[in-house]
Amino acid sequence: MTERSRKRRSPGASGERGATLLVLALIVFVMLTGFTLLAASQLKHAERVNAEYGNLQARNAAEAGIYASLATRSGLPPTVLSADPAQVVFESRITPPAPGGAPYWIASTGSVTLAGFTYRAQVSAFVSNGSIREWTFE
Amino acid sequence: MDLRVNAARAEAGASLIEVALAVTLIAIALVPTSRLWLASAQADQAAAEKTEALVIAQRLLEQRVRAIPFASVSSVTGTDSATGLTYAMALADVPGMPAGVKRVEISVSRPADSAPLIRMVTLAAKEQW
Repeated sequence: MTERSRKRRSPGASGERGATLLVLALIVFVMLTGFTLLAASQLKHAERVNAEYGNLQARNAAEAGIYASLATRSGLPPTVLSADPAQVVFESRITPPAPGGAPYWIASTGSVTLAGFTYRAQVSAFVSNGSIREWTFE
Repeated sequence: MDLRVNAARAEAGASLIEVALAVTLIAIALVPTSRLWLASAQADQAAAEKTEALVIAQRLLEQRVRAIPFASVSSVTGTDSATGLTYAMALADVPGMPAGVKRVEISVSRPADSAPLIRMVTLAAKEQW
């Protein structure tokens, strides 16, 4: 091999090696990015499940307020249903305030404080002849 | 002779030092991301179990509470056949409320764990006023 041919081939050989390294680096980068995005989406999904848990608890607390007002035929101040591990509270009011035998509405708010977040739900029920005829969930 | 050696070096692949350096860099990059993957995998599994537990709890609330006689039953326990999760539903009187109103507490947990995956508390009424 002459001096001239060596000079011609060396840049080509190092260029091929550089290209191979670049492709490998790109593959590693794409794989890392993909796995990281997947992990982020899994964490977000877990957060949503926790939020759904909080929302369901809040709705159950609001429904508790409906049944409590239905039984007592009166609005109720904030009432703690459970304090540990989550703070579960409901509050309700009825319209008209003194319904007598006439149909009336119960509006109830339930709230749950779970891991530093507070979830709220509002539920209304239309009562006629002592029975709930209609539910409204907000 | 020198020229041949130089040419062979120029055409050679990555040296051991270069490969070792690349492996070290990749390892350094993988350590923090592997923790993220581990955390996300655990969170994903916990979320899946919590979703199953929520479905069981809601089904108990909407179907079983209506079907059982309030006066005689104070608790119901069982195992969900589909998931293997265990559940416990306790009914109790509420002070200051008519007897038809019960406090319902449902907890769903893994068979081996004492701490529940979820716990739901609400009031339920069977009678009409």
